Amino acid sequence: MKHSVIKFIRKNPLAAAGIVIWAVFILCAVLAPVIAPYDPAVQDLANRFQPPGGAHWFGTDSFGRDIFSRVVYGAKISIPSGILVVLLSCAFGSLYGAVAGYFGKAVDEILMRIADIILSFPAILLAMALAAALGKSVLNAILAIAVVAWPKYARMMRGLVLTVRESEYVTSERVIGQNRLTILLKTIIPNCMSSVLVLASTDVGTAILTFAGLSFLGMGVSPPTAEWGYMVSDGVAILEYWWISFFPGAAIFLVSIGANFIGDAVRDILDPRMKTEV
Amino acid sequence: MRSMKKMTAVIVAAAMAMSLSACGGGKGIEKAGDSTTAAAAAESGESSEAAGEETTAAAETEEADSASQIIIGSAMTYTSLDPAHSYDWDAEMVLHSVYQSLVTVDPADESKILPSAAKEWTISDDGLTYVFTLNEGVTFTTGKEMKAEDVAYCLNRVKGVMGNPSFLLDTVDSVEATGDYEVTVKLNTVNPALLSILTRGSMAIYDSEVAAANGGTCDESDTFQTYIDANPSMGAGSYQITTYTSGSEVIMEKYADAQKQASIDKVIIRNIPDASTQQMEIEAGDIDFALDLTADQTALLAGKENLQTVTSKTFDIFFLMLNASEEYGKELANPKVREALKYAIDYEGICALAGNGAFTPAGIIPSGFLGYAGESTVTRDVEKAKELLAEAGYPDGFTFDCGVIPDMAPDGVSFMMNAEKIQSDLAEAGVTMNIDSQEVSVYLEGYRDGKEQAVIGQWGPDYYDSNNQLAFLPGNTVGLRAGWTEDMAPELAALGAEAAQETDDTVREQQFLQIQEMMDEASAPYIVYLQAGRTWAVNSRVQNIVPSAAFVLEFADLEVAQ
Repeated sequence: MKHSVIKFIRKNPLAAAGIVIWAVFILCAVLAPVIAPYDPAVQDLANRFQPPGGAHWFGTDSFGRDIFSRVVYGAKISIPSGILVVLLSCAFGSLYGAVAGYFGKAVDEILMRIADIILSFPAILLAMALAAALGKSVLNAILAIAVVAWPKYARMMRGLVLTVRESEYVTSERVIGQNRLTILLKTIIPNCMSSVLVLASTDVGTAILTFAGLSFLGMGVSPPTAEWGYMVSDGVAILEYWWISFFPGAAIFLVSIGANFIGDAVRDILDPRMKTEV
Repeated sequence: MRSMKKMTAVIVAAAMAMSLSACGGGKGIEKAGDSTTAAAAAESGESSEAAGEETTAAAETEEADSASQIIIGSAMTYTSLDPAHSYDWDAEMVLHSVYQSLVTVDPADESKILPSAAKEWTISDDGLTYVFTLNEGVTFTTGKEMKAEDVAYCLNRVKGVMGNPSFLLDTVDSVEATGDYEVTVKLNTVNPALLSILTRGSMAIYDSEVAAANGGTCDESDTFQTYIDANPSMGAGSYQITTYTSGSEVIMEKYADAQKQASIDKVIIRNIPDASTQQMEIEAGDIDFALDLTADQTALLAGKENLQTVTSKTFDIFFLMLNASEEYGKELANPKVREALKYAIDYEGICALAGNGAFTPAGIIPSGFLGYAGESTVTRDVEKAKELLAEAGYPDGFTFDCGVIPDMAPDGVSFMMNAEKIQSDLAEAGVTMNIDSQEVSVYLEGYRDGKEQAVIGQWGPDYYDSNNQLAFLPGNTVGLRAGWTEDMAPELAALGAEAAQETDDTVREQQFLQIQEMMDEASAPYIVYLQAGRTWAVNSRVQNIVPSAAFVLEFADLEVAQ
């Protein structure tokens, strides 16, 4: 057991780093009240703009709130919302793409053109418009990002289904008179999932980044909720107090890059062509 | 060989630079603008002899040296500089320096009316007829002499085009030229604020012949706005607008025949919407004034070399509106609840965050106006707030929504910062305030229709008279936005109507004080939490800065240190 862990780290140092990063942030999200030394919403006007160090490891913001505590609490918003966006868009997108690919012809044409329409919009602009229209809340922001994120899953799934549905095992199921829906759900989709999972794991980082972007523009959370993107935008007004933006920005960076590392490793493991002994 | 050529070029360039700086040095301080002119002159005279070049450069330098200019960085809110349509606080500084109005105000005391285009005026005993006598021999930049017909035309145009400032003249029945230099203004109701209204930039006087020849009709079909924004201004103020690019730049040059002579030749206002960009540019010396910095920024800049900070007062009050109607205000419709919230807010903290000399006035009348009731004596008392909430039937607090424009900071006071502070204060009393960030147009729609449960609001007076603040009374504009109808406080509404018509200042003062006291007792649906100050960062070469709450900044007074 111990031996295999060391072997994994040696083979995939980046993946290991990604897992460590995510483990730390998930821990922050779950145990925020225990880890954070201060209440993230409590203002202390006597201690505004304190630089990092001493009582405040990451300094304080314009209301004298502890930035370290706010970054820790920020994980509670960013991590679940990133994962939720990916779950939503991946589930919907893959099912959508699978139906299009499996039934083909007119169904395929219509479904995929709809997906193309959404793909043709700049993602962040469409997400902004949707978030603004739906109203400001965390859930609405998640929905808005999911709406712009699903077509890429649909595209990928459709392509995979197109190859798989011609394979012999699918043909043989059809020959023995299996229901078409059952074939799609029980045989085809499971056989295509590995590639989709790779896409999903790298996408978590993008989702968190987009969410932070929306909050930066004032369309995600409402104060006093601590959210990384919002915290970054709070600090850009006065660059002399660099720490207000820097630490939440670093958190966004770490989580996104960690997700990418893990995604790469998942691809290496799941892709049969790259398979070696793990 | 090649490197030799390069060397020679460098030596020649160095020699040229030295000769230039030598003649520049003899003249005293060189400004950034001058050295570029001199360098350009030197470049253009490439083939000529060294001696000749020097004289050209010297001549250019001399000419540029006598021309002074300053650049003002400002987050422009106006999209037109037509007086009849202009209604933005920052357009006042332009209009005030470009045009004369009949009367003006003392920058040190805005309640004092001073002569401007009119040298004197009389008011009839019934308070309904004003007769103004104009100065003779005042000419517009077009060369035409200012006469009574111009005044009548311009004021009638403000009234007729139905622009934003038109309502200011609602009480004016007619404006007529009753002589070459005599203007008679007749009112339909007594309005003690008329003179104060006439000081506004909207009431500017310009060449009426040019206006009439270029689409000016003084009614809603008027198209002169397009002309006036595209052409040099035709006023009689200290400056003339030579170029105006909407949303980008205003260039003003000194008007040589003006009554009040300006010292600086050229004033450029550049639109820099972002406060942090303004900060960077003022530090780099690219602009001379940064008008829209927050208190946190000016605190950083104070004491830096080459910079000074200038503080000015404003009449702008910031308030938390709590809707008094059952339908939209819900819990807030209960006066006890509003009283509780009043005690839950930390006014000192809010003012400290806003900085720039902000303080909390006791009522709706700002400091500097007749009937100002002094600074607020309410101090924070969370326990009392909780008791009042329990009495009102909310021992465990309640939740309400508060509309806030997130990206606006008038006078450098950020609405969002106020909201976050109040949210945190109310939370201690057990009340949850949800901040509902709204886009300006959405905010204004909900607020003006009186459909918001609560908002963070700001009120900048339309003119500098306490009458303007009567809008806050039940049944009036702001009152209705807060769901405060006349029948909810009939006595207060009646007293307000009385005060609006009163002409005796001692009586008015008593009435305004009483109104504010009654509003306090009735727990009016507003908690006024601060009156803002303004602080600018200014390059220290600029001197004699006269800030004003009314017209922001008097350009004609400014001087540049030599």
